[in-house]
Amino acid sequence: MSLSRRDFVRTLGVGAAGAYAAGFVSSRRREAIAFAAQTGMPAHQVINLSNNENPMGPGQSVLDAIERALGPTGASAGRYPFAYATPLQELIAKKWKVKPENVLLGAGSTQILVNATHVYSSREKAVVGSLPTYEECFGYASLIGSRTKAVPLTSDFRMDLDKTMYALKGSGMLFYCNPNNPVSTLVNPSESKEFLTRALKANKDLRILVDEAYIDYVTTPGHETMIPMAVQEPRLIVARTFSKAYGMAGLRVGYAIAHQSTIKELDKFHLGNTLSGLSYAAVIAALERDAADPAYIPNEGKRNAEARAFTLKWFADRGYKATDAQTNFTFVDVAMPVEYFQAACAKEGILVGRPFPPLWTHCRISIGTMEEMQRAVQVFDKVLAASKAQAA
Amino acid sequence: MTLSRRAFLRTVSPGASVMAPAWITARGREALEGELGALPSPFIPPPDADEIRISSNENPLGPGPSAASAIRENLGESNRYPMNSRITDSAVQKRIAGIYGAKPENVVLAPGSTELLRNSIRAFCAPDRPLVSGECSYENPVRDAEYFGVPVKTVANREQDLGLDLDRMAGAALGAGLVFLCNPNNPTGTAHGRTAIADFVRYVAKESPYTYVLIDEAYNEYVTDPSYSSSAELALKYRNVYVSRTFSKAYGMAGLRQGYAIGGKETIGRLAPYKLTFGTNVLGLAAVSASLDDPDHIAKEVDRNAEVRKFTLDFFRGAGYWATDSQTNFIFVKTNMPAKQFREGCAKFKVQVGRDFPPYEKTHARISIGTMDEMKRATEVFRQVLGSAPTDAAQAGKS
Repeated sequence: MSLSRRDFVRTLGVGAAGAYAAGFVSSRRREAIAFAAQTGMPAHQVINLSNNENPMGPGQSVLDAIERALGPTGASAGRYPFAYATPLQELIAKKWKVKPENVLLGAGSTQILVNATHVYSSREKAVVGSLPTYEECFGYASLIGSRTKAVPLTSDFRMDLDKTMYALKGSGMLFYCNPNNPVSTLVNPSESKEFLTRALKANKDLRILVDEAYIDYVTTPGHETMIPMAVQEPRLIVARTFSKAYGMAGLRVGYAIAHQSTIKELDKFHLGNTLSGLSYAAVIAALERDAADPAYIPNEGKRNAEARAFTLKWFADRGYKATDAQTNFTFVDVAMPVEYFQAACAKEGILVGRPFPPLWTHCRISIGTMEEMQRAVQVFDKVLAASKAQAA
Repeated sequence: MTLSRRAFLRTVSPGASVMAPAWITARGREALEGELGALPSPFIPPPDADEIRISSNENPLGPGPSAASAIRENLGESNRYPMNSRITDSAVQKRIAGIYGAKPENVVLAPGSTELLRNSIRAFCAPDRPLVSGECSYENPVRDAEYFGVPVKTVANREQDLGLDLDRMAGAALGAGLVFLCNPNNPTGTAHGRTAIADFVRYVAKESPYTYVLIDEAYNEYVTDPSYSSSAELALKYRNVYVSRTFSKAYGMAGLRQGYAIGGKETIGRLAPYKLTFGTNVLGLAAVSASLDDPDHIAKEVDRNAEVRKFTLDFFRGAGYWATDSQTNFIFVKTNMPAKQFREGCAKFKVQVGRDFPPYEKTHARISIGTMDEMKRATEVFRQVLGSAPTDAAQAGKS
């Protein structure tokens, strides 16, 4: 998205690491976690690779739809937009060949994650997730006093299914982020299905929330969504978002697909009225575009794959190990504390991802446009070289 | 897409869950029959030319030209999270705090008041720390309290003017977790002046210092009674008081989901953890930012509303129907007819008015204030629907 629109990044402090208390109360849930450094650089020179945003934006047809929804005077923005929930649910249902009763909307999949954690975890019934994983469920669980169990990854940074199975005993909810954030790795569909089935069988009270936020960026052939399994299995929920491949992180729309009875359970806690009318118009337009132009999102996946491959090769050529990235971000061992790498890059106008304990030297770097990545690696080069020189 | 030809659902209750079966409309389903294909994207239509929606206290003019321009200019930020966009949520938070001479820690943003009210129950109430509310007041906090297993004490409104009974609410507040003080009150439209509110706040602070008072000032901007002023100052002065505000009413952004609470650092600090991460959308933030830069626009809107409100009240009073002293963008009228009957009667003429408001649903109707043109047409419909319903100019509030 146009860099020239970027304001100066403001200082939020790189003290994020200190905020990671033992209980996983994530500072992400306070805003300050999305650090920034006061670069003093003109806005158009700053490249933001810190939050896995899609640099291409939502697409022109979506922007046009928002403008039309706003209308010439903007009067429609004064009306409550609740009537659009139903058509949107129906469009989502049609896309996935499920029923509207299988769909729950949220202000970003964030709301779905919070909702599920609230309903299915407690002091006795833990939330289980990998260490690290996307922090929202753990952070919310800590807020409400639910137990949490974090399961270390395998040596190649994948979810450790055997260890996870052990942790599931007596637990309330498994947060199964696949592909996983921040490590970018994937568990393939046959392994996933087998594991999820076995996990549900072994634990009669367990719910599983499968977060497929990044699924449109997977390039491993044969990957499948768990949506068909979710509508059949009352204890399985799939969360999706319009924030990533659909390029609408700022518009705050996500959804869950689950068995009808599960949706009803979630809906009891669900906070309604969080979606904006313009956001409804945007995602409705995007779904219509999916139907009219089914290559659009896959093409976005291809664009990302190219820039991602470029970035991965750049690090690999210089001996820096990265995980097998199946998303729109890479997870690279930069061989120095992430905060230092972050701060040094920020001084040069490149914003990279926050620390993800306990992987203290791994940096999550989002994939921007090819041009952005070409500029970014020049900064990485400088920062990494300086660090090597210091170490020598 | 047939969606573009569909008008909004009319009789929507803002508090209703979006999944409530009774609420899912045939129109929505209709809109999807057949065509998904190469279709023009929908635009959210205004109400049909001949339909008047005065049921949900919306501002018929929307947020105004500055806000609309800001949205258009910031479409390019749609892919950025609110902490990364050109107009960040932190910047808006700081800006709002600045208006009150306060700091960002004194303000928490929310996607409309709904979340704030619910988080208030979570932060300050418990099974042994009830919620206190007026009996005829905004319903959401009571519903939320019920969901979270918090007992509720409701206090009947004052008979003579249907205003909140502050004296009795003060008594009920002792030992409570939270008092929900809607001022101006929805649905009665009445507002207490600054002295009465300050007395109330001081009393509760002294007699029950761990009882919190949430003053919901959603309709603050529309008040014309000079004895009223916002309690934001009190909120910054008294730890146990905080104020919730919205951009949905006078600011005309009901569709954009923007609101906030202001209060002491400790109090807001207890509320803020429950905030939904990234709750506010970037286009709404841009609109809010532009509106805060355009106070003239709000002043004009308040004048416009006051004029049309007067016109509408004059109609009812002139026809012999008692109405409360409204300080908002809606009126509460004693039609002497069940609200349902009045509502259904009006709907036949494509005029949508407010839902039932117990305990006055057998006799009173809430009607939002639309444009002057809309209210001129609506009052003709009211005349017909009321027909020979008994007038009651003599006494207030008695069924």
